[in-house]
Amino acid sequence: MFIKINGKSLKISEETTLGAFLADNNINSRKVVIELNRDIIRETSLDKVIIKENDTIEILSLVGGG
Amino acid sequence: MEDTLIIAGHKINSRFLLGTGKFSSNEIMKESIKNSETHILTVALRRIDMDSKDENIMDYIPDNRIVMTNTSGARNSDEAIRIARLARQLGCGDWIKIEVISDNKYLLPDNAETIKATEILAKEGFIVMPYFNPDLADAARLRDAGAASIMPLGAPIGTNKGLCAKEMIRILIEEIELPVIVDAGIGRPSQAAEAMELGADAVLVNTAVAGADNPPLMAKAFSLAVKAGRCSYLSGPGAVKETAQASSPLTGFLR
Repeated sequence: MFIKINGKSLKISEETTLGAFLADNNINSRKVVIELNRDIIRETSLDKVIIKENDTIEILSLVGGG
Repeated sequence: MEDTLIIAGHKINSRFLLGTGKFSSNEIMKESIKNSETHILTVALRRIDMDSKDENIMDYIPDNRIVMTNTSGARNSDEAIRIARLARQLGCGDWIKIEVISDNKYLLPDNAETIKATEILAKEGFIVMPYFNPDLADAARLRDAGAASIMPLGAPIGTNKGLCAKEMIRILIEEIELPVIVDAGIGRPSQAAEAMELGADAVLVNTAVAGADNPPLMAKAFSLAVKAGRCSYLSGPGAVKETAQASSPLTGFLR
């Protein structure tokens, strides 16, 4: 199935949770904030939320800024 | 004498706020933060690069500082509000710098959208620090909307032009009882001192430090200039006169 991550289309092979997706991609969940279809997902919910076909996910973190 | 900047009930130990953008390395940024003695730092929120996960900027920011996320990239109040809520979820706390820009050439803030975002975020408990185009009526609207301070621009972002809006900022300092922090455009420590002598409560600088040949040294220069300008303001400078006034006695020897 296809999902959209940070504006790019991505094919994932099997159903997975947001938490597992982050872990598989070596992303430290404490240093990012996740938006799923415009809803902010709490860190404590990451392992409960299952990614579905056509989901739009934003993975954001802090960078330098003025 | 006691002279502490208070914003939304918080004691702020430095009147020099530093932006963390555009540093050539995290190590240079870290050294600059140390030399700046700043208490409030700004950061931005962006998509992570899925292909190259860089080091996290927070690893280079000391724990005892206030990290204030800006809403840069937002073109309207809805986008600014979205960024603010995401930043809070990320654990950045309640401090948010509202920055709503729809003009790509001069990066001038959209005051109307900034006021809208300020009102909503202040109601949600954020400590809202709006960056805006210095205008007295809009400053009053920001105050009424719940802003914790007002942050007028000195000149367009990153131009290093200094206090182009000096007279408007002077009026805001006189008329608005909130802390006034001059944000954007300050390019030299002398310009930061000028803002402080004018009575600004603090200045926020990024490009002028990060873009210097030696950013840590420039951070120190700004820190000293902000303190000097504040001392000058508090000490009450003498009046400017049209004709000379001798510093030494004119009588007592040759006349």
